[in-house]
Amino acid sequence: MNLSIEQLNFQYKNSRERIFEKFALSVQEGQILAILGKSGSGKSTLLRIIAGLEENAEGIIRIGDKLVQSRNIFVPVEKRKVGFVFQDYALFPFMTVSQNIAFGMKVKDKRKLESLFSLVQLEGLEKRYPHELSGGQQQRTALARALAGEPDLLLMDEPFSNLDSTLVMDLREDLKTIIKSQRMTTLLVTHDPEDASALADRTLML
Amino acid sequence: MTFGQKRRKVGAVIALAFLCLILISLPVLAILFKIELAATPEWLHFKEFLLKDTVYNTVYLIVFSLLFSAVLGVLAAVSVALFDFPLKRFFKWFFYMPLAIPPYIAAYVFAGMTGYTGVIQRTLRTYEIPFKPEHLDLMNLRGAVLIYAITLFPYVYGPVRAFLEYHAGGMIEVSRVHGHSPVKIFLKVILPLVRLPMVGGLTLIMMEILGDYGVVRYFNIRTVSSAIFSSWFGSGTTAVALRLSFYMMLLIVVFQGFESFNRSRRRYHMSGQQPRLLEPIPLKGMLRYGVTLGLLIVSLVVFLIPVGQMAVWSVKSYSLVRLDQLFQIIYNTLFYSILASLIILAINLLIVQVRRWQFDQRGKLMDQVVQMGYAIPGAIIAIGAMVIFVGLDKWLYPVYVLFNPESKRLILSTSTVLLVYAFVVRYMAAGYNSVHSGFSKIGIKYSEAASTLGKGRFYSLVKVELPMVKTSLISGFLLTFIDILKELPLTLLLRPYNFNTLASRAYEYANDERIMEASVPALMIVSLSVAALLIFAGIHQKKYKRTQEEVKP
Repeated sequence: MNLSIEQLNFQYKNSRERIFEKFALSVQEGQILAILGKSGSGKSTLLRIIAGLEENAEGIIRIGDKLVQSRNIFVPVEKRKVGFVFQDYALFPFMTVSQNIAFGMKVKDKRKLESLFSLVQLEGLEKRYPHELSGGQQQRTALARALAGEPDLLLMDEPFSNLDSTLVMDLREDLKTIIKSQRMTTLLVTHDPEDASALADRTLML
Repeated sequence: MTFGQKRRKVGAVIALAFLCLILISLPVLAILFKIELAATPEWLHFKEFLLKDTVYNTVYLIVFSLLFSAVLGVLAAVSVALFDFPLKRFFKWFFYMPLAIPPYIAAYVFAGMTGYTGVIQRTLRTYEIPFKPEHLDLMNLRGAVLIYAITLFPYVYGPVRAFLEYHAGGMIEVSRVHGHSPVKIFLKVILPLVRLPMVGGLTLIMMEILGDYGVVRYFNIRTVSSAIFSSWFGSGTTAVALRLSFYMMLLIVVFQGFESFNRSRRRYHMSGQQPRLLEPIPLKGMLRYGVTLGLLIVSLVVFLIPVGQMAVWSVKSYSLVRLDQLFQIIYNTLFYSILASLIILAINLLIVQVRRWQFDQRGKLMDQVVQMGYAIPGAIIAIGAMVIFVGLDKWLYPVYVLFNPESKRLILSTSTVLLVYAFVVRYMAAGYNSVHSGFSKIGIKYSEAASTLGKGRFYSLVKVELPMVKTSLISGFLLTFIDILKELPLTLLLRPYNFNTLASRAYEYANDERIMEASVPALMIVSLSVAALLIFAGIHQKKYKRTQEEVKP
């Protein structure tokens, strides 16, 4: 699905400074866009606005043909059909890997669950709890959970920031292969230009 | 040479910490050694005539009070943590206030209000509204459940709200991104997520109920706790009391073991993650005012109405209370609460230092010994402490005679030393968690940095670390102070002749059916506790704001 943003304005409730002013962006279907920038430049905030987690934004946002935000319309986060991989992954610590991924599905589908395990190479780890996984395995679980709901758009916030550098090189390749195989439009926030050059089709500097 | 001296110093500190741990565990050990599981005549009599009712009542009170407190505590915590609505900031801290009302005082007040001469029945009669008096009767099991739930639910509310605010932000956002309904998010994510703080709070409530004497005595309900008292005061024998104490300790251990087994490998919080604060969801339309109204009604019932009633009764009866005695009682209460809280703080500091420097990974046993007293009802601690002090008096009697040939046999066990010792044993855990978690958060890196600059551990503790954990220490002190201020069973069992605290005086008045006079000391307990809670709330609000600043995206 395409993503388009027009005339986006945003500032935090308790702040006078505008983070976005008349901001515009367009991403084509299947494209991976990396968003780079200094801390505080609004990278993560942009993902949260697109997902519908920030309600104070003004402007027009379309995901595919669906208008999710305009002057009169605000589609709540629950109905936007986006997948979100958070910086800390936000895995449910009291659920197993399998339960975490199944949580992303509207209706539990065993066959689809197995194909997701195989896609993110987590076979054999289904019954483990998140704290029993390595950083890379946790990241892949979060990715599988985000993909389980068959989202129209995938948003990833600093997915490599909690991992050590030797692991990151392998994971970049894996991640690109998985996302491309799903033809998923993806926005990836990172502070590392190497992530952007290894993964993205396009780069945006904030 | 210097190295050798240092080792000896550290050895002395460890020895002192272990001596404190032994002193803390002595009352429990005394009970375990004295316990007689053989069929004594007293036990057989108790078993035949009283055991069934005692167990039924205790189980009834625990099951329904925990259920009611969990519903009230979790719903209040979820509303305040997850949503934005009018008066939210007021409710956030106000729901701690019921902790300022000891359950036995709430019992006197509500029983007085709903009784024949109480404001409710009088109003109904004045306006000729038909009612059945038995429907308003609270002096029964159902009434006790209500009293426990409305006074103790903050034990669930506080930790659940804090957990949701600090640790659930990411997980609730993920659930929303996946399009799940609010009901599904509540059942599948929030309830399992808050299990740990909820069970922690419920365990404290269970201990409070098991240890309570004031409510059940006033409502005339036979429970394990009241049976311990009556067998101690009534027959003067300890066999039944000790045996019941032992079973109660066993029940608490089984409850904690069951919960731990049931949790298995599951965790409820990923360690090492920076907290992501929950962004509250603004409620819209009528729901916004509906939630405010609902919580306002809860606030009225759990705090404002009982305190208002106490204030009215206090004004009416103030002239009947002897002021000279009242000032002495206030002095006793404050002096012994502050003294015991300071001793507890000092011992906690000592134990935490030894634990973090010497037994970091193996210190769980130390935690358990410190916390044991809190898990054991006051009546049991009292019996254990009494056994120890009577033994100590026997042992010291030749020394007493040296100073005074006509000395009494029991000196220490009839003095306030015994009471302070029992307070320390019982309430060590109230402040320990604050002190322990304060030092855990800063780790040992600051002390290590100071030592590379040539400063010793004691110097860096005083100059660097104590200022950093100041708020944790103050919180620990305040929580202990509030607990001791409200304490009743230990004081009733161990106080010297003619010694009173605000709690014991309120109990005496209420027991003589002088409810109005009872409200004067009761209102003072509530006011002092509220003052301490407000300082506590202020400290935590500052901490929350600081975290908000630190984790801003």
